[in-house]
Amino acid sequence: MEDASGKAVHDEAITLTASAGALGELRTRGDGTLVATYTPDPGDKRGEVEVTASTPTLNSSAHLVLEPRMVQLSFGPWLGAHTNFGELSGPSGGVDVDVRVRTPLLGELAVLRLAAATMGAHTEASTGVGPPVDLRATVVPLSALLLFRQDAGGWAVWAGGGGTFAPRYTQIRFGDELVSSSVGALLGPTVAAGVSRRVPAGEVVLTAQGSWLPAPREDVGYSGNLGGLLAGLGYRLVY
Amino acid sequence: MRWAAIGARRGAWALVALAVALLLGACRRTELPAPEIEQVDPPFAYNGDDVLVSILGRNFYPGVAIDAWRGKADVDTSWSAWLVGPEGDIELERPLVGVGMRDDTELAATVAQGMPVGLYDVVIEAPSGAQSELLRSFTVTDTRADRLEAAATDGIVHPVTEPATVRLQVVDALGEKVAVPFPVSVTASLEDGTPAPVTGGTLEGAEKDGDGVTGSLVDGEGTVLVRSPRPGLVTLEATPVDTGSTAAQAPVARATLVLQFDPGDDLGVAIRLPVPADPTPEVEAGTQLVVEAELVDQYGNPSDATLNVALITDCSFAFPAFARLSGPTLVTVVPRVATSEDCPFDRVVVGYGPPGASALYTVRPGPVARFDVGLVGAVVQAGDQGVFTVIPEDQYGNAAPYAGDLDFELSTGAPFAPLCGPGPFPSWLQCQGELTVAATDQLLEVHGQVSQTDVLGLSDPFDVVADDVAMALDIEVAAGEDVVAGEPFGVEVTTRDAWGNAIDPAVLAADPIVLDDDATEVDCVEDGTTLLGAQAFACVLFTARTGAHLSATRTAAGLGVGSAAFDVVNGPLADVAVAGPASVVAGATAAFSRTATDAFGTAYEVQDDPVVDVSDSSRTLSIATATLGPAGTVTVTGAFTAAGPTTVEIRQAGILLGTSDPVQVLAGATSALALRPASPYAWVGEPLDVTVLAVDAYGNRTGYNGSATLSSSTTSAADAAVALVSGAGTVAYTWPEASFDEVLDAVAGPYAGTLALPVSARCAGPTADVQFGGFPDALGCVDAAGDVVLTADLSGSTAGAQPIVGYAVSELGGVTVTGATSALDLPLHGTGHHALRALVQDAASCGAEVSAEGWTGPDDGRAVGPVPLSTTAVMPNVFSTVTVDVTGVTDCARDPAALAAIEVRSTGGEPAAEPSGSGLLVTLDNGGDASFDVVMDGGLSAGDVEVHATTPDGAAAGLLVVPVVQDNVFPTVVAQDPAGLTAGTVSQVQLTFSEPLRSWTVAPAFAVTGPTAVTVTPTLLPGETEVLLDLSPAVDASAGLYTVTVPNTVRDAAGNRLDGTWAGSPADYVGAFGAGGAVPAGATCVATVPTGLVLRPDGDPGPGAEADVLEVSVSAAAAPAFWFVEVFDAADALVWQTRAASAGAAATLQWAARDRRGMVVPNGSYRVVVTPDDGLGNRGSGCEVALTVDNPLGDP
Repeated sequence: MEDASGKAVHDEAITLTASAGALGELRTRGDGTLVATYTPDPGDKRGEVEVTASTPTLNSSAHLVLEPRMVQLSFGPWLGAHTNFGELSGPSGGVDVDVRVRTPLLGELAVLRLAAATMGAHTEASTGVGPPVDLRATVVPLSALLLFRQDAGGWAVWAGGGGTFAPRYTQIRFGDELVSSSVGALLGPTVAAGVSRRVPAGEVVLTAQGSWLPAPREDVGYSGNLGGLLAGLGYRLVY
Repeated sequence: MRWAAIGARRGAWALVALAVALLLGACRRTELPAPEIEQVDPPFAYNGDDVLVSILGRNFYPGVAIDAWRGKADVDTSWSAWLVGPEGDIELERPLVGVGMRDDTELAATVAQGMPVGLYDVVIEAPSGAQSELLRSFTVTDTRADRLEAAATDGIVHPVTEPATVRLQVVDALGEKVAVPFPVSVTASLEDGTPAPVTGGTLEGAEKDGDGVTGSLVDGEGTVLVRSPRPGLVTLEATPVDTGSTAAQAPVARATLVLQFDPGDDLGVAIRLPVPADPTPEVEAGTQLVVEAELVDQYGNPSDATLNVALITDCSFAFPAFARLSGPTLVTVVPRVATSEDCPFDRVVVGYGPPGASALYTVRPGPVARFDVGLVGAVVQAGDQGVFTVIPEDQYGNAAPYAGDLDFELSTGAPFAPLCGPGPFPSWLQCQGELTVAATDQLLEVHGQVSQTDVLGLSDPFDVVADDVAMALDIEVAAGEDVVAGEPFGVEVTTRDAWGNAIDPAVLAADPIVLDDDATEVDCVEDGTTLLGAQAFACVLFTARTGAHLSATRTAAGLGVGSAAFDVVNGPLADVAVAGPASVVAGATAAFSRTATDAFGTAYEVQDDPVVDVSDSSRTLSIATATLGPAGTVTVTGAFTAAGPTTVEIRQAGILLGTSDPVQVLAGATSALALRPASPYAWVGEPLDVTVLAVDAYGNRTGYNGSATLSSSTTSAADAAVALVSGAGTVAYTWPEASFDEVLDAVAGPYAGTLALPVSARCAGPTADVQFGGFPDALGCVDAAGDVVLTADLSGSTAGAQPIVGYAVSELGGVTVTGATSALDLPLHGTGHHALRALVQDAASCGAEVSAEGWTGPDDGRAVGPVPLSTTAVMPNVFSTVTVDVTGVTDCARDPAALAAIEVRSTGGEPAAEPSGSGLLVTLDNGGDASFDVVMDGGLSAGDVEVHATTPDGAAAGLLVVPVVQDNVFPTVVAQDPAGLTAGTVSQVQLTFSEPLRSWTVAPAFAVTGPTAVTVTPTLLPGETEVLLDLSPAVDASAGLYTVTVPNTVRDAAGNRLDGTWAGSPADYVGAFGAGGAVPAGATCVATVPTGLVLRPDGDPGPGAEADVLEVSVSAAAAPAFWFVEVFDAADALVWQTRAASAGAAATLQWAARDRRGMVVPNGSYRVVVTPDDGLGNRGSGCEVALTVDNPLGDP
């Protein structure tokens, strides 16, 4: 607040009111200006609010327009299955985090997804000399994807691609003896697509993700693609 | 939400980056464990044939690749192996052929024919490329192992007690040793087929295998050891070990060897008694027993050997008999211990030497030689039966029967006649009788007679305690010591049983001893138990007297006893009342009476030390000690020599016991004149104020009235007359010429006096410089009397055209020391700061002066000298915290004042230091340095804040001035004119403010309201502290009450708004004038705290003068609306003002010794005026309190 000569006035009592919503405590900054936090009433409808600062002798108002919120951040788990369309398949699950990306070219159409999932593989084979070999692997694909999302009413669809970095834990047994275990990683391209339906506080999603994760050459291990298709049904919280 | 999304994006990328980093760090290929070779079987090969060997070990795994699409496994078993051995100077690899996996622990390979002879490493390689090797593990020979051979190394006949060493070799068909490692199994058996012991000898890895041993020959040979438990033939057989390997081996024939063992020569001792063994013979303890001893072999045949042996008996093993046996030998042994249940039979045995023992016999005790006496039970109570066992014993301690009479004698001398009967064991006696004397470590002596020979026995010490029934009391007071009032003395009370024994007080704890005295004042605490069993007490009596006595009672026991009479001496002198005249003439004697009491208020009649020290506060009293009379009183006569008030003080051992009322010592008759110059030296042509005092014989100023004449004794200066009024007069004396040895004479009638001081001329000449030990400031350590002599070094002074011929130095107001040399000794007295002056004068009488600071203090490590203070704060404001550094404080010897304390205070804010009640203390470190903060917390106006550092004795001081900016003090209305009841026409009202105002804030909002409307035009007068309100039209004050309002939009120069109610916050001022209100009842100041009206506002409030706040209690006949408190300094300037709302006709008001700027006021005298106000400008008569602010100063 300033006086007639433009100098800050520090010792006048000021009352702050709003036509809707709530106002926080009025605090004085180091430069002498005053600041308070305004919180709109809950809801997603468009509206207008007037905030008024009053002293015993002065009034001053500001006009605010409230816009409904759009999805900026969503995250949640999903459960489903995986298969490499060969010997390796089984149950799977994961967590996706979607963050809206605003770019001059695409506007708010793009979404950055960070995804984590888990899947397993187990094979036992005879060697002809000594005990059979038993090979087990657990793979955790960590994916970063750029998706294009389109919302229409309560429905939304998306598709896009990216890459996967998949930590892998491997155990080798000959007979019943565990002879080796190791931690490694797989790398490969990934594509994803899905559809969602808004529900209270979030959305239900049907998601699918395909990846190509070639196995490296080792003393004992798999050869060929350890990736394949991950698909499942999940729920996400939306902000 | 936008910020949340951004945060989530950043957090997600950070987590991904972290996970990738961790995984990359942990990643590695899936590898199989490396193979390990443990053994090659056989470990050798003949190079004339292809030899199949097994390589045994662990982790022999194939490589496997499983197709993730089809699930099929691709197995890789491509192992390879080779030998590594020397070929000249290099190591060559020689591959094995036909390497294949049998399973994960065995590989099969073939050593091809023609492999060079040598010792090789074996190396294998897995399909993955991992290798393993076993160093020097395979031998290739050019001889084929054909058979084993065995031979005894030391003949085939051996003593049965010694092992036979057999050497084994593996040889080829021609008998040549095949130098390879070769495992063998060796067994041995007696003629009847029972196994004979075999041990491994030099076989590598030898271990027991059934009845034999297995191990490996090293380089084709090794030894084993064979024993036989008895004479006869032993057959040894060595066979190759079947390793179970699947590798083919050439057959190797076993070896057989027959050994012969002859009988041994183990010895024993045959011992034969001198009497037949049946029936069992008996001997008497202590008699000699002669036996025959002889060496024999293990079969009982006599031996020709000669051997030393020691014989003992089973029951008396501690007494050996030594003998050298060579054939049958007589040996004498003495059985000392009679056979008993513990050792029912005795025999002679070999204690040292080959084994042997005699037939059994028994031993009976010898004749009684003494009595073993012991008390049954640990302790006996007086009056109870003491039960003793008496054991008759022979000379070796064997219990022996006794049938004679016994006599008893106690070590205490008490009679004891017990009855005796059989004891619990054979030959033992048990005697019991009454014990009556309590004592510890008593002994019982028993006398008997055997064959007309006296036999004696003495018991172990035993204790008899007193009975637990109290029958009498004894009391003893302060044995061997005086009883002094207030001091503990010993009392011993003994409780005795029916036999006069002292009963342990702990036994009677349920019936405690109660002590009392004739004055029922004794205070006792238990102090343990004496060696004689008395209960000790430490008691205190408080009233000195003669004929005192104590009593002790045990109520439950109904016992009581009184002590003998004794005297109670006075306690230490605690108070001496001194009475004397209110005034006395200096030099005249006066009598003072003294009445002494001890710490308990008892007249000092039963005295311990009647001599007291006498002194007075002026230290001039002519007597030093006095001796109190028998009644604790004394009258002494003495004289004082220093005029002024004094008090007589009585001390003992340095402790102040009493002080008289003030005594005014009056000056005596005038006897001389004393001259006091304003400066220790004078300048030609410059008047010097010289004060002439009429003094008595002791230097006290008298009340002489008259005229004195001053005259120069060495110059032509004109005489000057000075009028002495009440013994003093001052005249400005001027010298026309210089004289370094000037003496000024003063004469007033019969009285005269002189003053020596140098007189110099101010002309171009020398320059003065003075140093003290090389320093510009003088520091000195005072002695016990407070004196110190400092050497002033004026050698740094420089001469002008003429040489310097005279030097002088003086403490300002003290005696001037002059001399012709540059080093002058200047005596100083007292602890603290001294202002010093020095003068040099050249041959042309031109003088030059210089000043110095002197500091003196005791030599005990405390700070002495200047206290340097500094700060790095730049433009601190009224809310800043300023750090003040103290650097380089020294003691009187110029050493760092390590760990010394200094007091600090500031005139603005508060120092963050340790409160002591008498000042805020800062402790220096070992280097004499320290730092502390001065915390400003607002309530101040811009100005200089003084930070003072001092010591209580003034021996060290320092001052730092810190300018602070900003203004946090609200302006107030100091005065309004007119105010209160006013009559007539008023056209102007003048308001006075506490500080200058901003002109543009003096707005038309000023208002005067009353019976008639009025327009107000305010004008800020020059100086900007006064505002003149022009009223239009002028008002008739008699018409009613007019209110003057000053809005709080009025601001001072710093922008602070008006505090119109003195509440410390912005508020309008409302005053009044005209016909309204009434003058309130006058106020009376009824009390102050501190009562001494001296304040020391140093930030550390304490009692008395250490108070930081003055409290004034006021009262009035009726309650006013307000109390105005105004403080004026010695120049009657308003220092501070406030207004307090009244809650009644009495109030307590405070002043914190600060001015309107919030700063602590300077030292000096102040008036605090309290005035009642009716709230409409009418003030009643006030009261005032005069006080002194006396803070320690850092700038003396």
